[in-house]
Amino acid sequence: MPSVIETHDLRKNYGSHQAVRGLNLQVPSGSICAFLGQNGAGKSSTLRMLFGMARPTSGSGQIFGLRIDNEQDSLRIRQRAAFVAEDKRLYDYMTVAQIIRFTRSFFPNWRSDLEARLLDQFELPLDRRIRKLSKGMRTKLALLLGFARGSELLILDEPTEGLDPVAIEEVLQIIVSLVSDGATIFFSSHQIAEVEQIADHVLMIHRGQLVLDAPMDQVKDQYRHVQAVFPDLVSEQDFRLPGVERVSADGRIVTLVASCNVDAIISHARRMHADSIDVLPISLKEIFLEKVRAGK
Amino acid sequence: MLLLPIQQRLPKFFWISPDSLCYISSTVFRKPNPSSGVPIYVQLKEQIRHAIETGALAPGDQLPGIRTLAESLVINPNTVIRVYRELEQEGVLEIRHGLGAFIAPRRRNTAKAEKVRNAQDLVSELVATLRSHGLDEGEIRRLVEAELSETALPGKEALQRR
Repeated sequence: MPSVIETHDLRKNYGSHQAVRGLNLQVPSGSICAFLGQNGAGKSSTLRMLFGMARPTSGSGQIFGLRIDNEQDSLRIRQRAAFVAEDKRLYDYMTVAQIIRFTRSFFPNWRSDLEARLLDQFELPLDRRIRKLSKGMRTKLALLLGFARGSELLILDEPTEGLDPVAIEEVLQIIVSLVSDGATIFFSSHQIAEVEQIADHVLMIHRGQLVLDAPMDQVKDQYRHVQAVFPDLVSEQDFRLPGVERVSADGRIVTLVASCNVDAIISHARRMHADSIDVLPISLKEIFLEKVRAGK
Repeated sequence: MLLLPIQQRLPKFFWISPDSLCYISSTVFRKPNPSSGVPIYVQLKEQIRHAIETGALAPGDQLPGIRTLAESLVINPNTVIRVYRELEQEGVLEIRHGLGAFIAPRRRNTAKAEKVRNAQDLVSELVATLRSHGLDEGEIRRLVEAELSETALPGKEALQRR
């Protein structure tokens, strides 16, 4: 599948702090691609660079094949893609109805059907001024303005932050609906459960570098937690095999996390006369914690 | 090309006409558990297979369109595409051009069920015969189990050839 977003060795320094350290990422067209990482891992810096809100220190990036650091290109990107930033900044003095009317006027593909559906679902008060909206209402309004633009790409920075479970499910449903229409979604989140529910591709960033880049099904199919008990003492060296992400040996017990190649790893354990071998699936949350620990 | 509706991004046989009636409500399906180690596409395939086994879905029944099912379960539409495509390859579903996905005719789905029913007849005949030869229940069970564990041994054929 072709990529909508691509970066090559993208870097961003703030003074001596390296926020993004050589990022090579690709977001497949038509996918729901999740962007995971701890606070300060470089997610927002990356998203801001993609959207022309911050200049890369070095490296390059393209959206729809247009350069993110070229002013004219960046303008064309913004016509075709919607960005809902983490701070959900809006014009405080406008009412809900006013900002919708104002935003709508810029976008010829505006989805009035979606606007009506979301106004109803989110129960947004049309006459209220934005400054008087609660945090959750503000998030819902920012999402409505992003979703209804009819963009072919949506970049969402923690779209469901601060929303209640019902609203989260509604937001995920809209995302599913937009992807059914052919849109691509690139979103960052700390909610691993929602990522597992709708993402088909996962990118994980840690300390400004990509530590996981894989289709969700592949992660679920191939990542395994393996524990084997042997008749004699074993060492970690015995398990430096392809696919082994992390291994720890404690006496006769070996515990390892494999990202692929599990069958070969099990055969290897059998050849070493393992008394018992347990293989368990591993949740995305555990993988996330593994990656963060490994990076320390 | 990015704004094409999902139906047009699929091979032509996946096109589903928007106004075609959906006979099967999406309520046949449960929301998959995203946090289990089992991928959602595997869970959904199992659900469809199970619905066929229990008769909740019968041959000729139409499955919901990709968008409808994805929206009602709040899962990725690409996952639904993958499930329909794989089940078609396995002969469980039929994709009719421009109409949608349907449960394949009985002969393909229930071949297994028929085999099991036939086998049941054979087994009951065998058990009746053995009883008439004076064997009790425990003896028959042990014989069957021993036979099964022997066939499960690898290299049994090689042993017999010797």
